Amino acid sequence: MAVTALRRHFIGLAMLCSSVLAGTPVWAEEADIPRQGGTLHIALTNETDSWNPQKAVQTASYQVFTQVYGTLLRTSPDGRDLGPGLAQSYSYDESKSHLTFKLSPKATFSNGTAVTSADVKFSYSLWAGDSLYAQYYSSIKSVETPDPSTVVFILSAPDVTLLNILASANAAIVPKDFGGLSAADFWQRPISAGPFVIDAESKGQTISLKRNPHYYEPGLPYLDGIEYLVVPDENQRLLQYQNGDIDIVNSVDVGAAAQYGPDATVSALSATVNFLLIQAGSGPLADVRLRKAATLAIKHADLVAGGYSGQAQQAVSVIPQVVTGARTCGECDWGRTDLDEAKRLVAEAGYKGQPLSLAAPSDAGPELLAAQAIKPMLEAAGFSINIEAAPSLVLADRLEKGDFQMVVLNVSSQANTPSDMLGFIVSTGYLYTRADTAKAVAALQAIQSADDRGKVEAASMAFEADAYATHSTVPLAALNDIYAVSARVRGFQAPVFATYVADRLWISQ
Amino acid sequence: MGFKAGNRSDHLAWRLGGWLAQLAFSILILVLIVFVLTQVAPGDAARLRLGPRASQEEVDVLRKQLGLDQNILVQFGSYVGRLARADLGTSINGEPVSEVIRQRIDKTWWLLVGTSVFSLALSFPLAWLSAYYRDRAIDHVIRFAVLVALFMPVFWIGFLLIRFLALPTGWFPVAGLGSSPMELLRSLVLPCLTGAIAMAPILVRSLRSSLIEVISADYVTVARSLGIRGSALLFRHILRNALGPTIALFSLNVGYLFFGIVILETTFAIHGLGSQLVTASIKKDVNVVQAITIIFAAGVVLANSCGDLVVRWLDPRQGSR
Amino acid sequence: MMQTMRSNLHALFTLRERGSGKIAVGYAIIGLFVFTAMAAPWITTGEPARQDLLNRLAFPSFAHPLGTDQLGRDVWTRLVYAIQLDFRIGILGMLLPAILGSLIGVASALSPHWLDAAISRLADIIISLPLFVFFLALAGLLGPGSDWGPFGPGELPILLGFTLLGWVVYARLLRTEMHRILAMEYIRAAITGGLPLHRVIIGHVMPNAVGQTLVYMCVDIGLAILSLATLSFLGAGVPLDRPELGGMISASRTVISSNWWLVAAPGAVLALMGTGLALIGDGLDDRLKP
Repeated sequence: MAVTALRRHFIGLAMLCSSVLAGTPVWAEEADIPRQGGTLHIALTNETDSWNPQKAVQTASYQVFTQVYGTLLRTSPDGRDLGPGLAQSYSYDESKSHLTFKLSPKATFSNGTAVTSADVKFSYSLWAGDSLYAQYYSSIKSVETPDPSTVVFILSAPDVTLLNILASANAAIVPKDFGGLSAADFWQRPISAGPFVIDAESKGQTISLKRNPHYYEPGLPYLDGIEYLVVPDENQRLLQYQNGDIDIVNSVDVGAAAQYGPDATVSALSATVNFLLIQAGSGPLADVRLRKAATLAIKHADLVAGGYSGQAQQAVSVIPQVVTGARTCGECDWGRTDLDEAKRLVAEAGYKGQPLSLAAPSDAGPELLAAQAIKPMLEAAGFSINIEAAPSLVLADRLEKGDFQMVVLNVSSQANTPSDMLGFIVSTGYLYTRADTAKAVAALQAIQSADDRGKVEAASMAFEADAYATHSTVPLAALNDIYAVSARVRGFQAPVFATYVADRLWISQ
Repeated sequence: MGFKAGNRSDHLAWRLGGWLAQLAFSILILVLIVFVLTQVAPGDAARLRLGPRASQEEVDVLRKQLGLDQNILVQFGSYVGRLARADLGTSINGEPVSEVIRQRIDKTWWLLVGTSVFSLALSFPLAWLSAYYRDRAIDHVIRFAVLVALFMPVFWIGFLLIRFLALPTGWFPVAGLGSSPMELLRSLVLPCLTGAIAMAPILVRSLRSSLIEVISADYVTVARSLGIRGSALLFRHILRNALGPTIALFSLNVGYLFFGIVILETTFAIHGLGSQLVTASIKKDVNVVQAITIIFAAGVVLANSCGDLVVRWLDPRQGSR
Repeated sequence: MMQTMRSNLHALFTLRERGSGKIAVGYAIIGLFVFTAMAAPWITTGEPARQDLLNRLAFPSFAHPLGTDQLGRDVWTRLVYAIQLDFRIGILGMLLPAILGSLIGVASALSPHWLDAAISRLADIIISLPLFVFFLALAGLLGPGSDWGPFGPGELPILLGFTLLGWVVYARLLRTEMHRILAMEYIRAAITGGLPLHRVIIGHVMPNAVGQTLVYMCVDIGLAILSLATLSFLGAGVPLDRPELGGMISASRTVISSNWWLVAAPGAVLALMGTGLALIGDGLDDRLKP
């Protein structure tokens, strides 16, 4: 079995909960010795929305967060294994109600002050406070700080999923009281404990990161800096990559992957699901029969094979199957196509051909292409569809306000636990569709209080059954995540959960 | 003598004053046009900000705050008042519009300067060749090429240059503008060349006819008969006399040039005012659209007026118009 | 006086004078496009929106002369329908401002002096503004919208913008011509003698204005097509599922290295269409020169 050195490294640590493994990790190509220095140019597909992880919803933001923010734990690229981060070890007590972290003595913020338990406690107050993601942390009752290097999370339930959440950039550790700054100032240019710090930012254009000299991993990061370029246009990303101006393209459009050349792209079956979100709160689509008709009208097999350039599989669940603990339900048959049934439902619901809008982000190829592919399929069932393309940030705003009827949107799980996606689904009003969240909340609570995997799976299944009955969040396809990586970049592994930490990337001569 | 000079400067001051008044009037009119255009854009500004789920009361409160409940003339008055205080409002992201503009205006400026230089450097020799070899093969080739390029989309020319010049050679970056002077120059080549190719048809056609006019003018014939030939003739007489029409023509086409720059910025991913205008108008970011169109329009009006002044100064014959 | 107009038109459309070569080639090119656009249902599948997702990005074949695009749509069919759309917008984008401008020009010349002066001043200002930048902002702000009467989605803002900005040249031309004719002694005498105004306009003003107007019209069709393509390319034109030349280039540019003809074909059509129009305009211009 091909297990990479990195993975072994993580497994070892996770099992022993021991201190940091000494020395530099050994990489697959032994002839290559990591070289210090250089700046990588990485393309982001759209503008980041906030430096505050509790407010940000764009995947692009999280792709930058992982370079900037330190977290208690870290994950391996496939997201399955946990390793030490700012905390060098963790342990549960026997009742699984106390989760104790020992902070690494090397853990330091970018301003040079040590990361203490008080900082973790303060950070927790942000996570659980006025946050879009507060649901993630609902199993934490309180945080105690017996000494500066020890943090104890008092849990209301065993929550086997919490560790994965704590390893995601959402659980960023920031200095107590924002290091003396006002919240507003802090989130302009946060002090952080990740491998890189923000050097300069030009909104919507570039984000320059430079190496954090106080990073807790000795000798890392290898790079001197990262220059993120916001390039919403896929063609521009391709051209700049071909011209050598960009080293890594995050999230290559599935349709353009072939243009980068066979060796240039690394793809992995990811935790990204391409959804058709249907407004269940108001308008004609509040009638579940129409939502069901829309799903039945879509020729799923054609869509998956053609709409995503063969870089996708039929999605069978709302929570991506790569997530440990995700399950589909018995009756869930998202891939079913039945045009006659769809027409019958449309007629039964009394839909009179009012034009419906089908929106997609204009800066994301696969979504827009999928929307265009779906349009004639829906029209065949009697729907009248207008396609609207809007920039990601505009669309996000409209989603939040409930100002849409149908949207094709990618949603990625960013941690290897169903509670990640579920927490997001719940806190966004059932993925913006205004569907009744009661069952989703119940499933989330069940997952967070589960002490074994069986209970997590059972709760996931219950949620999936509700999602299928509601039919407002239609998973169309599980997409491959594709990264274009130039030959001079070494140490890159395509992550399953949409983000990676660039501290071990280096540039060959 | 003193009297005469005084008279002259009075005259100049009067003319300058008139010119400024005209400029101010033009800008006021265009502010009005922009204002009306942005008002007819569909959607209630307050509703747009709050979303369809907001209650009517909330919308009414915001309408009052934004002054949208007043009549359109009062709104226009307060808008002009705010403009006069250089208050451009905030974008939908909450950033001050003046900041958005400050971050981007330099890139648009470099592009404008670069494209102007490239356009003249490309068009003038072509027009010269075409006029000098009038009705000969080279003239026909140039005129046909210019015709073909007349309605060629700018983005298409850009694609061709990127595909067949930039990518194979690797000499030029395909996007953005460099920060150091050398990098800036290198990154300007491709977009400015594209812009110049798009501008050439307009410039070459008119320049050719004015050059022919100059070449066949009496004084050139006289100069030729007196034995003044070659470069001396070119620079001393023809060039000097052709400069006026060139500048007049160029300043008249600045509006078209600005449109070209908007497309160039999008094609070459340059984060200037033009690409911002495109995104802002798609995002319905009204304040940003207003500010940028006003800047562009003021730029054009200013360029036209300056061109006019320079032409009059160069050519005393036109001064009495 | 109709004779003058006829001979003027005759001079513009016969091929035996100056600029004939250019005009002939131009007519041939444009005629080809008009024919293609009109024959669309017979020379294509007739369904530009039909998708075949399992046959995406196919190479050219007998069934698909230009292959298929990312959604498996027949590119030849889309190209022909795009020519139809672009040409229609081009013609309308020329006609509407020409009609509006001519009316304004005539009305302005007949108005009291202050109104005439005000209209001229407005025209001066409009011509000095970066029209296309406005146009772009307007099209983006208005959004494509939906069908409106005879206009498909996205067409109305473009035509509106073009009309609002394009009337100026025609107005100026007609106004100047009106003033020139009205200043003539015998015309004044004829009007006092009861010659209806419309006879003056049709018999005397139009024949002289028609030549230059035709040159402008050719330029305007070209500009309208170019603007439509550019706006669609920028995402502010017609909705992206309607076949349009600029939109087709924009949608296929990511696959240029594997399916270059998807970008080359609409680009070549635009260039050729523009060349045809420019040739006619230039030929007419040559002919009008003294």
